[in-house]
Amino acid sequence: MDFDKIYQKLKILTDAAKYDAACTSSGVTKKGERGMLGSASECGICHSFSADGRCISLLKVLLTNVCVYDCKYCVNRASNDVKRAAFTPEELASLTVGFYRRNYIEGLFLSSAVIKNADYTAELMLKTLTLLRNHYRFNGYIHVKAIPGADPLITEKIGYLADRMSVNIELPSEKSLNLLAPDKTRKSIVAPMKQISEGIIQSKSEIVKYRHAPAFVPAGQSTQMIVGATPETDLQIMRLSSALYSDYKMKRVFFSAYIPTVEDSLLPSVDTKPPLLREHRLYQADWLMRFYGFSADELLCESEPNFNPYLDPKCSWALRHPEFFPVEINTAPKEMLLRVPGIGVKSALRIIYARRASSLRLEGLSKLGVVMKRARFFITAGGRYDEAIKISSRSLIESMLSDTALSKISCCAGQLSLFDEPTGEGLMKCITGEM
Amino acid sequence: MYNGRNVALVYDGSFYGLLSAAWYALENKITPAEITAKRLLLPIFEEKEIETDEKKAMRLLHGIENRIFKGVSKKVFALWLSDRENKEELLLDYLRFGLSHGQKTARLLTEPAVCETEKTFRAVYNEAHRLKGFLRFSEFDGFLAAITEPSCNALPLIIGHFARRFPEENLLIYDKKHKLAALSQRGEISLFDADEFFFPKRSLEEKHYRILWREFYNTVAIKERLNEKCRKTHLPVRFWHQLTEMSEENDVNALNFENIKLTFND
Ligand code: SF4
Repeated sequence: MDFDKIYQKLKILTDAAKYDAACTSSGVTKKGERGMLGSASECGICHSFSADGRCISLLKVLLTNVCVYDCKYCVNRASNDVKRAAFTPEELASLTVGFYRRNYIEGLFLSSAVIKNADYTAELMLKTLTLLRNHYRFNGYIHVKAIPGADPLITEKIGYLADRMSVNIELPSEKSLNLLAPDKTRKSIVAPMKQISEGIIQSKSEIVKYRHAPAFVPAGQSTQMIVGATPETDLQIMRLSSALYSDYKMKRVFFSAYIPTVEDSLLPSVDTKPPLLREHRLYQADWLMRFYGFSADELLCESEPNFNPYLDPKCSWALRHPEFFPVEINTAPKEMLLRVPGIGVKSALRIIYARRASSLRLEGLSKLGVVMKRARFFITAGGRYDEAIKISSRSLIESMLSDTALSKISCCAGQLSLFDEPTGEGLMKCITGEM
Repeated sequence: MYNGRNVALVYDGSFYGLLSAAWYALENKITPAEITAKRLLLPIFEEKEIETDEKKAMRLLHGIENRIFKGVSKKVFALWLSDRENKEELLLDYLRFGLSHGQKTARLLTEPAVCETEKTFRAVYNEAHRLKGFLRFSEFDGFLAAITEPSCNALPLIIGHFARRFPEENLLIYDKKHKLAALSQRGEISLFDADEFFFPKRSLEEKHYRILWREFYNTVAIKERLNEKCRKTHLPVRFWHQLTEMSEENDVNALNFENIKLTFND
């Protein structure tokens, strides 16, 4: 190993890849096999957490940051003056294996800028994967970002070696894409997305027929979009993301708060803080849609197209819909339990499990993981409310705010400019107005 | 009836030993003041030494699987692996409650013994899960070695994972706190007690990989998003000294891999 060379390349190509949100190693189970190196577990494994608090699961690097394209929001765009580097497939494969054997990582997250042209780039990626899978007998997790515009045959070959693939939708609307990524088109992005989702369906049916049919992208596909670089509302973003889940069977849609790295008149200025609170709200809403049975149009509407910065989307929904409450915990179906602020997926299941043995009382609920501070306003047990609650909207609001919103607001203080400037009074009004 | 308030049951610290002690208490219908693996210099209670009886232990496991619920042995095993105080007494309470409530025991989460057992079970499995991610191997001539100090005796729960993941490698994981070593030699697993472990000096290549990994770790963080609180929640500080990415090279606090000397006690 030429240590100095690899060190320089790793530094540049990690730096160039770090803004990508996705780093999960989930979605596929692979038992270890004699003669092979590696395994994978369905729910993924985090190996570390970086100083920004994000999970590190995969070696997330670019194959190269040499790019012929000029997407305005990207550090690696052709017209930007940055240090450039490229791994050879051999260098990257052996680095991956070296890290994997030391239990630093679950596998590789490989994406790339477009060097020479899309096909050439995709070929290099394919070569890296072939080395890993065939030469090193690597059985760990591989996530590959497809190169839009590459020959579908190469994409297909990659799909048989990777566990997960993704194609970034990049921006929440076609208009923004045309404006900011002149070399990419909606069509060139959607084509591989479609190819991958159809490939997955076909391969699944083949595996049913022949047990040893090779698996195509067994961990499914994901995508991500940049939030805050362009003017779309949260409602537009949520609608797009539900369409991506249903039309292309996405496993995950990731949001990435826009961090300005380049100056451009079409973009927020470079001293704009990344909208982290907004990104957080979008993930909460995404979670509600995937696991709690909410739809995008329940959470937001045309007249209120953005999330409330002070309340999480579930509390905000509950406050707008008093007609659904109180929920009787001894009889309510799971879907209703899930709608109660303070009850999560796990605690809902525990309630259902525990109430089969004996009827539940409010006092026992916190042992089941229910956050009573919030839930007590919305539930009854055997028809009884919590005696301690005085029904004043103020205490209700405060209970919702104290740890969810207020701490977020204080720790993310610089980014509220996205929303109306908060004043104590305005805050109370904006919330009680919803009651 | 002799209720055993003044008796301490002393077992040998093994899983079967603990089950033998539970058997003894259940059979004689006593609630001992203490069940312990540590002998006191000046005993406060009358001590009853429990002989480890593998057959009885197995019978007890079968018995509770049938009379409480399928899978209850896993909870019992997790209790034994845990470092919580009074785990032995909790185990006895749990078994007693379980034997009189049967199948529905696991649902009676409002009963303290059940709730505590579930909590401990989850804590032990969570720790095992974290170790799967946070363990770091260094390569020495022909084997990969890791040192750790987990909050419970988790090696028995994780060695299988690593043996399957690296079926062609020789692995050695040493738990410095519980003085236990787990070995996987090309997939063949063994566990043994070891008071101390010393590893050979790191090779140049090993040092290079460590530097590369630290560089990756430091570079991948987005400085506009720094969030120390979040990092510490997910990556508890107690793990930091075993993590390559958190140690300075030649860091005195890093777990010590120096000198060639292997000491085993059988
Ligand atoms: S194609 Fe666009 S987004 Fe991708 S690296 Fe090149 S400039 Fe950046």
